[in-house]
Amino acid sequence: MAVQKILQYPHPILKTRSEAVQTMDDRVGRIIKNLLDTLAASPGVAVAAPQIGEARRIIVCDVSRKAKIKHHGRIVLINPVIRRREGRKIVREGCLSVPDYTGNVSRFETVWVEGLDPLGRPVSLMAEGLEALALQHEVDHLDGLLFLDRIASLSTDLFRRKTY
Amino acid sequence: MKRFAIITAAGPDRPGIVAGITRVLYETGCNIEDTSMTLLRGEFAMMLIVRLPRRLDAGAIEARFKMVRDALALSLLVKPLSAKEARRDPRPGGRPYILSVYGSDRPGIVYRVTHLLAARGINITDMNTRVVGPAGRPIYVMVLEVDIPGKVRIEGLKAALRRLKKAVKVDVTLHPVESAQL
Repeated sequence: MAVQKILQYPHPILKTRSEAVQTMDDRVGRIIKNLLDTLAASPGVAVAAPQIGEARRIIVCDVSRKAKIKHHGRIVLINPVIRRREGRKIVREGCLSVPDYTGNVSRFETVWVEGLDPLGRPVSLMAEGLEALALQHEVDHLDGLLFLDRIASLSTDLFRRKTY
Repeated sequence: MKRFAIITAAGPDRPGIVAGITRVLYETGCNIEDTSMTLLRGEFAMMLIVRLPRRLDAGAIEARFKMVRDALALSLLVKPLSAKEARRDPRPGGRPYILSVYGSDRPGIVYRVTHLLAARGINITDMNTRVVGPAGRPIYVMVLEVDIPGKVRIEGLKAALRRLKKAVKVDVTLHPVESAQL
């Protein structure tokens, strides 16, 4: 149990669809512990299991270290599914698995997410702002999608359209 | 030794300009690093940073573009760069903001806005301007992406922009780029 290296593209696991967790066994517990340790040591606000080399549908997120935003604190979600999305917007994203590049991607301001907690109990939550972005980004990782797959516009082209 | 070059080129838009340029780069063994290209009205404009092959310098590369330049009516310039000049700036520096300025078209809008920024050490990282609206009453729209150094107070900058807004009779909005490092 320890801080894991965050894998970078072109590692093939980042482009692989992760498998759903069927039983809450020791391995799942170990992945969660490693994800939390890795998150605590990283400059980011969320990590998905494939980023540490485990193709299982588990994500962790904690935006509480950023000031002045609404959040649920430390979130661990197993088999997360985004049930509802509201408020489409364009956000410039970067990813620890794709260093030195940011792109404008289309996301939603508010999402409603369901999944299981570390004890296997169903949970659902509504997330907004950075927390909502992080959950969308991490669920994409479970589907083998990077923000590069969701680039909505190049540079200021987006602002040009917004201004018109 | 200048082992890199920046190529700037522009010409009447048509399919095949990028392919024409990059074919020469491929055949001469230049490695394409970062590029930015865009269509501006009827002109397609390109900037490419390339790593030069060992045996050819920037002048020799420029000569190899002669055919494609003539065929596509391009203006084209190859400027040599050292490895240091060509490297990616590792420091995003300050805070990224978007500045939108728009109003009835009048001389001096671009100069006054950009002078205000330059005087505060604010770097423009991307910018485009458009003249829109009916010919009789054109509207000028200017959108800039700027990097605001830590030492510049946003409130002070906003106050200066409000004064400019009154003086030049434009509308001005400054807002941070919504970004997330995940």
